Amino acid sequence: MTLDCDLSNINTIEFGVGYAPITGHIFSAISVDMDVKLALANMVRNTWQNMRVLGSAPTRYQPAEKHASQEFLFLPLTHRLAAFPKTLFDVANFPLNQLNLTTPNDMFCYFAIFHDTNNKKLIAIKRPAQFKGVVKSKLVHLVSNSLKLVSDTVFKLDSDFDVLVDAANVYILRPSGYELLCDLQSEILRLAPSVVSDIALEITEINFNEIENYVRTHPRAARLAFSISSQENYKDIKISKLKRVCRQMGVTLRTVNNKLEMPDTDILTFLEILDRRLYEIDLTGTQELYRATSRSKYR
Amino acid sequence: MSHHNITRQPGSLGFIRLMMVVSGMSPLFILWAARGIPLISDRTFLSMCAAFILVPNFFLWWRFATARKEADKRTLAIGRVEDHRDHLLVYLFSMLLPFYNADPENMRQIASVMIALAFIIFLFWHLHLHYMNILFAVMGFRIYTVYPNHAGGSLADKAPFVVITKRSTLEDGISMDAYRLSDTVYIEVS
Repeated sequence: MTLDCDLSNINTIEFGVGYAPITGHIFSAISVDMDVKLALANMVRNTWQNMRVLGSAPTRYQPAEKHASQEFLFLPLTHRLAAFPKTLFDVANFPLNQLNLTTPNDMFCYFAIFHDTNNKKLIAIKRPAQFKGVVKSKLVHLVSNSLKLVSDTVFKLDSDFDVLVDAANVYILRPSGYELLCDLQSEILRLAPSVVSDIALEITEINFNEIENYVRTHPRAARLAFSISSQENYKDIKISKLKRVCRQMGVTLRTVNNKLEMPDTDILTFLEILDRRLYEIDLTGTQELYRATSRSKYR
Repeated sequence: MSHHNITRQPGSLGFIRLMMVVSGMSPLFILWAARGIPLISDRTFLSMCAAFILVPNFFLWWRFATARKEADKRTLAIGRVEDHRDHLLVYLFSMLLPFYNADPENMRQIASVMIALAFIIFLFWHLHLHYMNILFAVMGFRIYTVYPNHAGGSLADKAPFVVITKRSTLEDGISMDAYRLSDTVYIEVS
């Protein structure tokens, strides 16, 4: 997988910041000089290089997965969980120099917009933990053989970005940064009921009504719902096999109005079963049951 | 979070905009220099006119050179476009010619002409009309006002901006790279 934008032929670079007051996100482009632009270009190349070190191709971001601090992940830009980067990518022209930058603590992200010589666009986004760190610290610099305090407001750029967005995909280097940027926890809770109702259309033998209510307020269950819907073969589940695994894992299923349902206390376990996160292994003659917080298909 | 610190600013490069407005009045100072004023010696008056022509145009050139050096350019998405060649005619006939026709007979009349000119300069500066410059027309540029492409919804810039370009037309939906002369005026140079 390659980036849509050619990083070796960058034509224009813009820099911007985002604030998140109660009234809603505010974004502004900020004019910067050539040195900053060169630094941003280096940052984005570092980011792509760091991603490629982690893997030649990205794996799909899974909200239920326990990700490492850095992984090479992606989401299609059309995905439900890519709404924030898509919104940012679709903005034609950001307002320029519209924000007073006196309080870097109020920023929740900074970003750079790159266009290559073929007018392909790339947005790189960073959640700046560094802004707060620098404001609290005291910086000194060498002036005429003496150390002097830097009195100006200082913004420190990081060595790479958290997220790259091109016309087709969102590429994620830091999953936790991406989740904070997009406020993914709230978004997942908001969208999970509709994801569950989509699943219900395919697995008609199960009553998903209570599950739909459950995922509104249970983040772990909401993430599992997304993970289940992303699997290609969840529609092919055999009910007889599902019942057997539920019995093994202690999920109580009962039939009401020709549909299977379970008590609220078993919903999370049921969703973990559907998401292939609970498994049994017998190496010693004793059945052992395990939960995988992170799993990938072996064969 | 301290919301009161998230204030919007009306746009930067105020001094450059002022210089661009005064630069746009170079034809007036050229005409005045050619005509002269009986109350002020030619040497003094020509020096003043030369200063009002050379200094602002130097800053205009300096701003453009800085924008090129710093690659201060943006890729702009073009929305609805209006060709504003007529603005130059409005500028000529409603502003330039009346001032040229002023024929002060004493120092008070000179002062009142200067004050009126200062008001006009302020208005042009305040209204971001600093792109009105015959120099651009002489160099073959056209002036378009571009209304925002609304892609991006509430996050996108709502304010129109001006593009100075040699293109004969600008179509809605294209994008172009242009150097920033000010936050509302861009110039496309190949």
